[in-house]
Amino acid sequence: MRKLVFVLVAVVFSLLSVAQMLPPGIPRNETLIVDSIHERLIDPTQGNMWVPGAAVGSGLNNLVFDNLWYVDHGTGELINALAAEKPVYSSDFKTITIKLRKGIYWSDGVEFTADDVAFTINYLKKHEGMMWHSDFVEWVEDAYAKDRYTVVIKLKKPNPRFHYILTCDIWWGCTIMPKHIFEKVDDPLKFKFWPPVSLGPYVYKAHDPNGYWILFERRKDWDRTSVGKVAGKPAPKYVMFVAYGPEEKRIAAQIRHQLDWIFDVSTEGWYYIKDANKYTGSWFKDYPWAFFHDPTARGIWFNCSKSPYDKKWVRWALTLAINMYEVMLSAYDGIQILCPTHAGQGMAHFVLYHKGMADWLKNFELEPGYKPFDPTLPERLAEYARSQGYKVKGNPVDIWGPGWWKYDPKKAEEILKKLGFKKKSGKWYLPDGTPWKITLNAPTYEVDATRLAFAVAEQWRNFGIDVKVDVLENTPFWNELSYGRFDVGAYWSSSAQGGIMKDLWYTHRYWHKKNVLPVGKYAVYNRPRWKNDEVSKLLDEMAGLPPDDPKTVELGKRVLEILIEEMPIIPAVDCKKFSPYDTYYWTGFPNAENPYWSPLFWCGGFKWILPHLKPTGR
Amino acid sequence: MKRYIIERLISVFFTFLIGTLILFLVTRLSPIDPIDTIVGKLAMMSTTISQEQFESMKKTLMSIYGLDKPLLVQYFSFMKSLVMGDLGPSFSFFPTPVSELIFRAMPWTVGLLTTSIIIAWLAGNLIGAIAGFFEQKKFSKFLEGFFLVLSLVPYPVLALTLMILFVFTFPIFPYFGGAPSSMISHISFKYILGIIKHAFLPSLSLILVYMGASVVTMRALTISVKTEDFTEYAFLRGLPKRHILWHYVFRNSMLPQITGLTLSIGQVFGGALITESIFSYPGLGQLSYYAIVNGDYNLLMGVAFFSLVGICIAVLLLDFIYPLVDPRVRVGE
Repeated sequence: MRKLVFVLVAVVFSLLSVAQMLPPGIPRNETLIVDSIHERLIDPTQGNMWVPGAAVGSGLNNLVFDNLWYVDHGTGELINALAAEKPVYSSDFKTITIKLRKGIYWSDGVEFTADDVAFTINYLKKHEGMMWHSDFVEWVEDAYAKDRYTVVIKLKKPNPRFHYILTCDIWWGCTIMPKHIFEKVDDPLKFKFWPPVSLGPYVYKAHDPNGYWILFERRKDWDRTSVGKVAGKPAPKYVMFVAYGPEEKRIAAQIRHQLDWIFDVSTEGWYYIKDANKYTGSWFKDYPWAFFHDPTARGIWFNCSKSPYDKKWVRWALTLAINMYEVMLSAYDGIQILCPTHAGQGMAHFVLYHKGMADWLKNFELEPGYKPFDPTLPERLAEYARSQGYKVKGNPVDIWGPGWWKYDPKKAEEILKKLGFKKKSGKWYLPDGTPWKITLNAPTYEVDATRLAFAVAEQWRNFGIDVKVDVLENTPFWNELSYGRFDVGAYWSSSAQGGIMKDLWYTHRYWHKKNVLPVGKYAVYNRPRWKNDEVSKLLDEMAGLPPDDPKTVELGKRVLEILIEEMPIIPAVDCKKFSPYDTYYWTGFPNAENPYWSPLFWCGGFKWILPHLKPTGR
Repeated sequence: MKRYIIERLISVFFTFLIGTLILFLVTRLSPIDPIDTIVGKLAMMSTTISQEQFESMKKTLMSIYGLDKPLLVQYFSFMKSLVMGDLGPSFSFFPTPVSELIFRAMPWTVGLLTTSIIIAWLAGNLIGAIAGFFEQKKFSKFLEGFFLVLSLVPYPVLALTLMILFVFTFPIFPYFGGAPSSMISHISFKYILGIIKHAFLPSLSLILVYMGASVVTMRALTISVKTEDFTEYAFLRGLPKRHILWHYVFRNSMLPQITGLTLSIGQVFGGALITESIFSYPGLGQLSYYAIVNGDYNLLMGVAFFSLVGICIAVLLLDFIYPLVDPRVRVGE
């Protein structure tokens, strides 16, 4: 019996002593541990990024592969990465010449040259089913290496923006393939390219067979990569992506200094972690802490092919029935930025198309003599913050945006009654006499979008509409939108609404009427199914102009003005991020005081952040 | 006897055949189109394709995945591949074969669930039998109350309570995974202990829930068997109580419990989604969830297929084992 007790005690003691640490031989103080945004990697050994469905956000796109150019998350300008300079277009926009950076090598020691770029384009064009295949089929006549470091691409038709395909905007762009590997591959769709040969500053080191973590190691020849040449040595020797699971586990892990950077947390989660861990930081040092310039903006989307949301005035009445001040407080405790226009919230869009349109917004008349814009909201939110004991540093417009739309239920009522809607005993009825019921879709997995849906639903209920919020899982949530089966929903998009590039055509071309499909057909773009001839004409005009032509900004602003006049979606707030980082092992994370990049480490530009980090020596 | 076995095998074969047909149709009738899901995700990530390019890409992928053929052709193609042991590629994780994903997840699920079910079944039935046999004793009343409450606690509440207590408040157990990341390539006694440590909380949560139900059911069964004529006769004969408990009452009370155990083990291949999600434990449950939300027909079919096979085998085993336990159902007797 004594022996049995001894064995049991020994087993229990051993169980308690088995700590969950880094893989053997990996020192913590040389390792940056970050959140795996898409949770666990079900198939961690898929390194072929050119096959649809390969995992993005956990090291391959943001550490291992590389692009010719990146978009600077702050300025919206192109960063030359593998390319030595910006692309040179012929006057007819049918030939592009790209000069490449010299001295870049693949991790297996083979030099990166123009042959790799030309091969990538021609190879993907040749193989159906591969990523970017359809792009190259549509545009490329031929791509060839003019010399070892110069690529020439001949296009079938003029395109002043062809280089966007080869540019990493947020997540990725067409990444360059190693010719010396893929030229020997017969069926690239079935080739897993594992472990991948790297062109970026890190190489694959190890992974959990169950996909809970994956580890990358800095290349010994990091100085022979684009990041090494442009930004310097990436500080962490190792970068580990870990899928801790739900928010509470990630917060607990950061409090114990086992997770250096979290994708995002809820407001409540943020309040907890900032008090529990004195090393935790976010974008701002004080209230409102969070980063407000994620490229994507959230909004209330209408199905413009369905009655009564096919009517501009109904959409506007619903906009004026929202008390945005109350929404900001009830859903976000004031920690959000207001999006009055249909631009994204990336810094480039914010400067040009939110703040930059402040005068137009203030003077915009929905009806002769009626100005619906409310520029007082930023100051009111600042007052709220002060009333809570927080200090507001700087201009409230720079924090909360230039304002939003007025809360004017009387005007909303007037508009609806003109359209034949009736209000009886405080409840609204459609012109045909049936009660007005709205089903508002919200996702299960994006807290901010769900909160927006519930807060707006509450506003509309107070106004007298019977609103039901349907909280849906990811795929049904987006399918409702894409097939046009929804009425109204709290949606967002990184295409139509995103914006770190100054060129509004890039994000707003999807509003073109040619992208409107019948209900029941899966639409990739223009999913609110809103048609407008003038916007389509403006987009066609912008398509023919080079992206840096000053006229594109003017035409872009006109597109936004029409979108505001028509309000096919009610732009609301940003996809703000707390993205808490832990300064126990590492400092130098991007923040408001040192805004060299955005905190979007899961995107392709993560590699540009790493040279800025500094070890604390702990 | 030979005829009985052949009949059972034929019956299981048809069950399996009809089951696969139903599974095939149900997965194909899913409102989620896997191709739309994949290409839609790419569009969300700011790729540069147009609507026309999207349509063309969709056609190509439909052809690669074999989804452009009529449903009947797809079914026969699936059955043909199945005979060859090929469940096809996963759509969401193309070109990885479904079987590879399943075999990677299966040991965790099977290990966790089988162990938990057997421990809970053994302990639950023993406690239930004793509590039922001595129904008037105080400890019996206490056990009945305790396990009744336990069996009524919603599983997620119990699992989350364990998680809060032993992962967050007292950080004894790990946040996630099935094995320690610090010992990935070191199969050793310590590594096995690491596996046990990772499985401990999920397993404990399952054991408590299964055990609660087992104790309550077994106690009721024991009380019922105790009042049967043959038990009373045994008491009148003056046989020792221990003998009556194990040879008269326990054995007869076990019959429905054996059915329950066999079917529970048969269902192991379906995974335990809630357990796996709460404890971030790898397994078939999470794989099924990925398959459902992404409309990955092949992967869903694969997991469901193994579940079907598990249940068919369990039923078959039950048919063969039952006569050994219960002489009353022996063929020809």
